[in-house]
Amino acid sequence: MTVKSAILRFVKREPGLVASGTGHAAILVAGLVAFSSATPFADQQESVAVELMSASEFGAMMRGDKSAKEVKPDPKPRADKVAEVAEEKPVPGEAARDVPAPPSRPQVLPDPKAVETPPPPQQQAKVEPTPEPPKVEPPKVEPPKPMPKPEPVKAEPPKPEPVKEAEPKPEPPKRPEPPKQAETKPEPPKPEPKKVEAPKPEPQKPEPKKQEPPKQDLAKLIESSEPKAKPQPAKPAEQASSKFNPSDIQKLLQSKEKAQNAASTGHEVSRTASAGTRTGAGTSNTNAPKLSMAQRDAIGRLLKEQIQRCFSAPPGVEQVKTSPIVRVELSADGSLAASPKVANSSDDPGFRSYAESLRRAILRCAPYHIPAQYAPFMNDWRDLNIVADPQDFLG
Amino acid sequence: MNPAEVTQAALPHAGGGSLLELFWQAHIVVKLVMLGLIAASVWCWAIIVDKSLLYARTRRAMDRFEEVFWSGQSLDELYRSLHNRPTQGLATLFTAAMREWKRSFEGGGRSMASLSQRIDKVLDVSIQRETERLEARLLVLATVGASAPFIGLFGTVWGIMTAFQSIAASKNTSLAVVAPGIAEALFATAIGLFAAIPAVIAYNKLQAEAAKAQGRMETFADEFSAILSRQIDERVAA
Repeated sequence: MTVKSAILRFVKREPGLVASGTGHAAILVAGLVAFSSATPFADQQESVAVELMSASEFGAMMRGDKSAKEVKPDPKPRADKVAEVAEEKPVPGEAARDVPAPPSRPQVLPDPKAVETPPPPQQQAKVEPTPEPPKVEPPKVEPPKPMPKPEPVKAEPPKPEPVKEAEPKPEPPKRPEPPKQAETKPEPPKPEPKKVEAPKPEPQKPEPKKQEPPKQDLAKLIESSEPKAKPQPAKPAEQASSKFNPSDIQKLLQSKEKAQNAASTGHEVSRTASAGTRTGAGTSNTNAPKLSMAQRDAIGRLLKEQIQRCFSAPPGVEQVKTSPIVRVELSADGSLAASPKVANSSDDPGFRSYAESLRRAILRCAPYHIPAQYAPFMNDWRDLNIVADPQDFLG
Repeated sequence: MNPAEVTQAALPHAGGGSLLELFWQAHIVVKLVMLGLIAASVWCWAIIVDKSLLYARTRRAMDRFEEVFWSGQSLDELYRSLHNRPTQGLATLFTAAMREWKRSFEGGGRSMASLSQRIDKVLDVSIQRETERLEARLLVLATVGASAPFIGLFGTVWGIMTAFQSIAASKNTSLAVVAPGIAEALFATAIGLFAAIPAVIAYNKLQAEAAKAQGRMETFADEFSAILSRQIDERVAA
């Protein structure tokens, strides 16, 4: 009782502590309720660096090789670009863009290998260097021998990748890389499937020979003994032949020459020069050569001109503000592969009649004459969307 | 370790982020700091409440007393009604001075010479005591207000230190791993500010009120002293 009364008296005289304690308890409870759980931030996507690439760039990267023996279901970028980037070990696509790389051609072979399994190639290189060294040395080390050697060199370089091959000669200094190339030879099947199977194996062989001599003593020894003998090229070819046909090498060489030009002038030039799909309306559009914007415009104009001849303007065309988009499917000879379709619609009065007369005109004017220069791009123009601005046809 | 795995592993502990979770995850030193700061906050608010009530009471009492004092009532009667009761503020001054006055005259008027000085002294002492009573514990507020942020900061620094040690140990810098430790560390500073801000504001407010009350008492003491010294002079002359 006394304690209780003392407490009561204290509370009455000094109510602060009680008030403060209860106040804090209340605030704590309120805090627990209000902050019972932190509200998570709205999910924010991490930004990923994206490189923009035009369709033509992509097409160039993925273009097929005329000399390819097979059309691969899973096309990969050409190796020539990769070779340039080989030192940096960049993505194949990036490598393709670097034109200056040509001097490092030897690297081209290494790159594909490096990407796949760098270490194994080296080991293989050691084992296999013997065949390669002779080839390499002749061109570089022995000027007098050049005559026999040059042939092997030429034959070999073109096959791998035109651009690279052309440049390999000037690049001898890069020999250190040869071991990789030597390695690549055993592995050629891998690189080839990605790019062009036949061409790749061959280039690898020539390169290893050139590069290896300087670096590896064994290679040098081999070279010293073998360089003289012309059969060397045959050896590599044979080795590769298991996967590559020696006869392909010549084709490869031809393509290489083109590639060289392309490399010197730029990607686009090389594309048109070497682009092509063996299968025509091929299984993969990515392998088909692409029209440049200017070419595309030119074809569009050509078609419009031809269509215009059969076109009679229906009444009310002047009021049509929306240009109909007509999808025209052409076959190789310029005839219509399918009836043209109007791909858009509009509330404009006269739009329907205009689009309809346009469609009739397109049907009437077939077949169309497509200049031969555009034939290689058939894949790109066989399915065209023509934006038919009324002004173009009234003019 | 895969960051995703670490995140997943850390989530059960770090997930909620409620105040209690923040507290329980904290290092023992940080916990002590938090508890100390909460106690300081409770104590501060207790003082604030008590002092506010006390000053309000004192002010009312002073008003009442002054009303009675200047109502013309006889000082002797007023003293008789007050001297047996506990008093505060002006009434305390009045009773102390009157007690001294009465004692001087009970002795037969022999000690009239320095009575005025003695009364002044008595009033001064009374004012001092009253002021002390009013200002008691106000310094706690000042201390808490000045030091709580630093104490909280200490807890935060300690917490972040241990958090970074944990990060180093787990070799993972994912934000999900880092954040809970830093959040709980910052919680210490939050509590420190929570205690300090009201303490500083209340200290200034209460200090001003105490000074006002003291001034009022001094004024009254001067006036009362003047009245008494006039009475003394009249009696001596008589």
